[in-house]
Amino acid sequence: MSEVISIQNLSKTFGKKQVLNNVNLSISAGVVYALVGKNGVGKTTLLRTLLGLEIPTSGESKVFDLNSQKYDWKIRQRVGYVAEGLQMYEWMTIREILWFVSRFYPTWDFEYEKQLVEKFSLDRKAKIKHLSRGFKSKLLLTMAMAHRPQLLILDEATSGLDVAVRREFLECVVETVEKEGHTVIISSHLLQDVERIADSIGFLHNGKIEKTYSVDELKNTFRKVQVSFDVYPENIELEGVLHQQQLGRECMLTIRDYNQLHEKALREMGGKDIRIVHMSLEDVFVECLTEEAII
Amino acid sequence: MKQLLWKEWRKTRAIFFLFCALNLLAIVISDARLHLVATLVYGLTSIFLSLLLPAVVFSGDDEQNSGKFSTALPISRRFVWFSNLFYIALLSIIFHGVFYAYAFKPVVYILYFVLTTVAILSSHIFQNSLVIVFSSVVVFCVGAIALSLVLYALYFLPILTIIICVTAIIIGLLLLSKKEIPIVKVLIGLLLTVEIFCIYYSFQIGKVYRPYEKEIFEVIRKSGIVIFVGVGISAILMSYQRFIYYKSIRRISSLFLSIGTILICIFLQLNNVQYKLDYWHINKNTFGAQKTSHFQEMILYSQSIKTFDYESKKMQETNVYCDDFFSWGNELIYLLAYNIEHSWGIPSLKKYYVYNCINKKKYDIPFDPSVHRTFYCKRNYLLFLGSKQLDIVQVKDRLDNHVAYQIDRSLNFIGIFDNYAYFLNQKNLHLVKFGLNSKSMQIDQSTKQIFGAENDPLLFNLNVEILENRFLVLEKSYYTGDSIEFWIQDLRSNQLKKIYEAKRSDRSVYVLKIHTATNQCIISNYEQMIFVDLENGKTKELTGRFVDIGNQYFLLNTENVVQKREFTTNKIVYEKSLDVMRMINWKRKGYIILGYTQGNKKLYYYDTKKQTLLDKKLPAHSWVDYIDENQGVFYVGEDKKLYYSDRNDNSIVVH
Repeated sequence: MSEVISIQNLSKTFGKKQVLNNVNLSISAGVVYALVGKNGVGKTTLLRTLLGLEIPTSGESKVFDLNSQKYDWKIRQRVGYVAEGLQMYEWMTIREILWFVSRFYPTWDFEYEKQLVEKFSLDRKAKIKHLSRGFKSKLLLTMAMAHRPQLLILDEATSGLDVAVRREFLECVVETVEKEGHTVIISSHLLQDVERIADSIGFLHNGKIEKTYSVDELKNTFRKVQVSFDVYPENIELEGVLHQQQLGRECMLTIRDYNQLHEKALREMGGKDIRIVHMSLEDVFVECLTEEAII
Repeated sequence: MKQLLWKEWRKTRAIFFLFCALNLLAIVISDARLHLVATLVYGLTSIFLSLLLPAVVFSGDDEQNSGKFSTALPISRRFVWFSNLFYIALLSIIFHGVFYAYAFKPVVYILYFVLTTVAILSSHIFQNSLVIVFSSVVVFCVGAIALSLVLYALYFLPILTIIICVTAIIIGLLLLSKKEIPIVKVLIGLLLTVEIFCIYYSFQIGKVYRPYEKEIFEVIRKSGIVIFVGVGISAILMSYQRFIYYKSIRRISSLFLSIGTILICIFLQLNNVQYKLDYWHINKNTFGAQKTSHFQEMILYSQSIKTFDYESKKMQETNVYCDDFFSWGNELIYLLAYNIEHSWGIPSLKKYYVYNCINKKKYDIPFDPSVHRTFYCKRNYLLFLGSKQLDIVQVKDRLDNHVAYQIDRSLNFIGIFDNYAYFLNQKNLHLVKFGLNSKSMQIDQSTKQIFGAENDPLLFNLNVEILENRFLVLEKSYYTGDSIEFWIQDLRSNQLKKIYEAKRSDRSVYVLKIHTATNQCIISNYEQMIFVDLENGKTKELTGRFVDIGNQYFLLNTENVVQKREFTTNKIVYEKSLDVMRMINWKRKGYIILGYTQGNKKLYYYDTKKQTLLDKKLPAHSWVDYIDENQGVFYVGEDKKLYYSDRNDNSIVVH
């Protein structure tokens, strides 16, 4: 598979604050990649740098093998970009903004635009300032997808949307990805969304992406184990325990790479009833990523 | 680029249409090309557009938080910048192409392009925040000029000063409380409406009362600059602190309306407006009163004619408003008077008529006399001379036999003799006479010999006048040479003679008079009088300054001594030494003010009808307006009031 995105030793500082620190990343075509991290960790900066909207302090990023800084607007012609808080021209109608934006993309598919407008029930005569947040997001997605981009970047695109709209939004993305085989980069703190569509996940932490996981790999790596004791042991010392919580005579443990050895050790400590709970991506994020440099 | 231009057009078209509407409104309410109102509005909208447009175009996206969306579009920033620049230039050319084709003003063009360039460069260099500050200052300052027009209008509507000031203070306080209160919007709307009404009112006043037009510039120049600076500085401070992160224009307009208005109202209150009345004598007991209110150099006035009632010793209103006199002869009869018609309380039309001071009759004029530059009265004929048209009416029971004659604008009126109005064509120095009965124009060839072969108007200047209703006096002076020739043509006998030739370098000003009783012509200057016999051309000279010529006597002034001499023998009848010579020749009023002695503070005046020197006791620093036939004197005292002093020197205030 060819590389769509290639980032090498990318650093970015705002004043004295270093947001990105020697980031290296490569994403292949057709992959749905999720960029996850805490607020303010630099996800948006990284994505904007890819589009040539931010100038890096050092390093280089390439999209479609084009330098982001040199060929910024050429890259943007092939990319669909939806970002949280991206304010459109409030005084335009939907018809006007679609016409306006379509002129910038040589690959704009008016038939597809029509389908998306119908799918999202957008009223072309409506003014943008009168649209709800959900409809604004749908409109942004329409504009991002109508030119059939090879890369779709969703930067916290579903934030603030209610569950129904979010689901509709993501279904559309999934459908397009399946049909068109687009590459998607999704940055979101709503991990159930990421879990639904992402193939691989990169955690941005302290300005770096240490490792990229596949979703299944990540979910299988971590386990939540509930153990009940007759007599609660003084000390539970096990390899790979990330988090432990005592609930009376019961204990809740979050363990990386759980196996038979872990179960045997718990039973030796007096553990009676041992139950394995599968963790969602969000649980993994909350339980594991809140701890410093755990993964 | 098409869509970028379209986007900017959608964003700024409201401003464009607003300015077009303002200019169109100016054209509608102005009645002539390059009318003051139109020029003023063009100037304002031009400056406003040239500064606001780049600011809105360059910083509009950031203002509306849509900047990130714009930059995320697949287009280079440089291209966006150039397209913005192109749009500004294009819209400006369209805007000015339309309106300056109507009112061509190259100076404003230059100003416009300079300001546009500055605005564009500033917009680019200072990016967002300072652009907003920049445009806010402009909004403030241009608005300040507009509000100075309100100030002008408020002179006529003083009660509105208080209403506007109170409203503005309330708005100011509510705005400063940082609360979004719906009533603020209502109040701002109200304030704006009232202020626009005031501006419209002032335009109407300027349109109807012509003399006010030039005052508008004075207001702008004087009060405008003060507000300009004050409000501009406030704008810089406030804009920077408060407006950058808000929807600035709305805030600016709101705050400006209140703060600017408060400033104007305070300015109005602090300004020491002085009202005073000046009087000018018209005829016998009739006076014109000129009411002036001094606001720095601005003078507003309305003239109403008043008559003095000798029984009650008071002035009485006639409700006749006057623009001009018709005659400067001894017996002033006609006045060009006017009425102001009002529509909904706003002056809408100035209607002229002719007023006879003697019989107090009013005559409607069958045309608009405001376009004429001069008016003349001869017997029962009234001549209205415009730059392109001569209108003549005959006064009977009404203004009859109206003649409208298209004339060359180079024609200058000389006078009337024997049913002919004489004009001098300044282009070719032809004497042209217009038959008042025949209503036809013809060139008079009788004076042709004056010019000889050199009838080139570039070589010499010709001053012509008709004296004593009979003599055409021509003063020919060479532009390059030093000589002045005086020619007289007796219009009765059509005889033309060169009377005298003088050197311009010898004496500065020559005055020529004709004494019909002795058939003499008197040419005088500051030092001597030359008597020329019209029959035989013999001359005799007399040292002294000429003061007055009567039938039998003439008056001469030599070094603070006034001499009255007999005409035929030149003998001194009497002489009087005066401490201070004022010597004002008010012959039209029947007397000449000569001066007064410091010791006993007596004013000496010469009654030109009785040809006698009289004296009068008057307070110091008083200004004599008129002396009646009974030796009563109307004078304006130091307190600016009009007094009447009777024959026995008893003074009373009459107005």
